[in-house]
Amino acid sequence: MILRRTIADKPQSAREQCAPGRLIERYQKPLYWHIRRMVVSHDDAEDVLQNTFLQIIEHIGDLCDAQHERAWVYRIATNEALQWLRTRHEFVSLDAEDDESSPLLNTLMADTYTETGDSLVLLFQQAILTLPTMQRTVFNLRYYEELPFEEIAAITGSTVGAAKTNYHIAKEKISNYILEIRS
Amino acid sequence: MKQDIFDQVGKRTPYRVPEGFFEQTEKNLQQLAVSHRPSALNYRRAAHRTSSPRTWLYSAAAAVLLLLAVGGVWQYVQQQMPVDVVYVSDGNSYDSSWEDFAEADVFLDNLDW
Repeated sequence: MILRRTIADKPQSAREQCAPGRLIERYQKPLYWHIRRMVVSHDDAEDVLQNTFLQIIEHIGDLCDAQHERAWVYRIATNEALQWLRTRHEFVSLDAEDDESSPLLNTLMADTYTETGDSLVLLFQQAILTLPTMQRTVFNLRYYEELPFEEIAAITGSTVGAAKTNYHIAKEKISNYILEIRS
Repeated sequence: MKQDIFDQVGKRTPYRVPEGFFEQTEKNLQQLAVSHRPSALNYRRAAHRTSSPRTWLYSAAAAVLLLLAVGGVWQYVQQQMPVDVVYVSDGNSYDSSWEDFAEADVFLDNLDW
């Protein structure tokens, strides 16, 4: 006889694993910063964060079976951020090679919650925003979140090799951009 | 030189948030979680969702066994069926069987050709 287990049948630890409150407490800040680096504007990041947690709560049953919780929540956040960017700035896709950065650069300079005091930090962020979407996403996840390439590949729906390549290309482009502006 | 840039900047970003933003957001999200709690039905659906590699393996094995069973039954039925030989004349070739039949027939033999 095959026993079909539901959430109610799971042990207490497994139920806690699926509790939305725990996920909010744990991932609210890192997800906000991840989303903020993608959509740039604070107000947009706040909306996307809320949409992300709505999606997480809606599909929380999947998480009970998910082995990689962090990759799962980051994937939802990334998709929500990309969806938001699509509605704001024409078509944005992780596969897009074209430069979608100019609207984001404008947002960076116009946002109330952007600190413009440190020119190098600002220039660094501008350099990141000139990258294609996939490279920017991979760079942010690796550089700021320090996620392993395996998780980044799972989040972006690519391979480990592609994630590593994108990260190194992104680093090269960022340093070249800054050196070019400074010279 | 290139690495220096990353060392100088580190993980600093120009992004800031309003005072008390995260505390307020956590409260809002917790309220959202209570008001949008998915039903037990959704949990059960998710728990029963069959997308694991093991499920795919079982499905593939079942499909192969089904194909083998259908193939075996088909083979058996083919062997049990009587073999009918149907002669089809193309109209051009000479049919010698009719001549043999005519020679053997008593009534035809009595006819004055």
